[in-house]
Amino acid sequence: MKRTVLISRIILGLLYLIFGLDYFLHFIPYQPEHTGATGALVSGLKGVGYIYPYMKTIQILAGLCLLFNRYAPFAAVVVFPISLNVFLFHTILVPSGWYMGCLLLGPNLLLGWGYRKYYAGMFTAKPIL
Amino acid sequence: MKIAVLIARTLLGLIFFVFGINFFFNFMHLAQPPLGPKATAFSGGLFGSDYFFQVLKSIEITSGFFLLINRFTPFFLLVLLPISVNIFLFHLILAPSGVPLGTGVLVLELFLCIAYRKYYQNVFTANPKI
Repeated sequence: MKRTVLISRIILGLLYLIFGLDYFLHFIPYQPEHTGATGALVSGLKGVGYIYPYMKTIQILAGLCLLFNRYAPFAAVVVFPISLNVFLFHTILVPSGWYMGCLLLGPNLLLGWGYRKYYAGMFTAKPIL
Repeated sequence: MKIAVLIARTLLGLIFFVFGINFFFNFMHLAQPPLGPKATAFSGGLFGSDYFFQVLKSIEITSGFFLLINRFTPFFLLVLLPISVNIFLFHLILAPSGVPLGTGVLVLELFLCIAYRKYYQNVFTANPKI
């Protein structure tokens, strides 16, 4: 389990750090072109001007936390909604990029399992105040 | 505190449960306030994906339901946190007419997260052991 968590943490951390930084610094030459409903979705999200900078900042910070292994359980929770949405986006709208969704959601879920004792409190069925 | 949490939990649960169900059955016949071009392109893109709102509203209905029956409340509050933040940002930046609703949702959400904070403590472990 230690090795699984280590590998998942590095994969997830690296992907989020690299793709987060690329948004601001543009160093990855390949950029997919989207058309139709996918194009409308991406340009709608980019057009509002705040979603991407805010999401990519979260990705960079969480990626650093995961890579440096500081507050990794928290970072894994923060990026989970992003991983889920990347997965849904690719599976449903851009099937050619399906592996991107799996590369994020897979390690993210493995981290969820690896760190489960740190999340146990959240799953209290009848919390007492 | 207990009463405040009860009221906040019921309100937040109702908001997400009712608006979530209304997405699928449209029983409230709410008139959409006119949106600016950016907000129109934004929601048009999300609607056009044909899955986004279906997934989102299913999550909202489930979470709202669990808040109302008070089971697994800390978990479903966490699920609703990113949704509440984004509702708030959407209204603040793109559709100011909904700022009171967005603020209300975020305030209820944050208040409840703070009330249940002891259930989240371990998530903030700096050096976790596997």
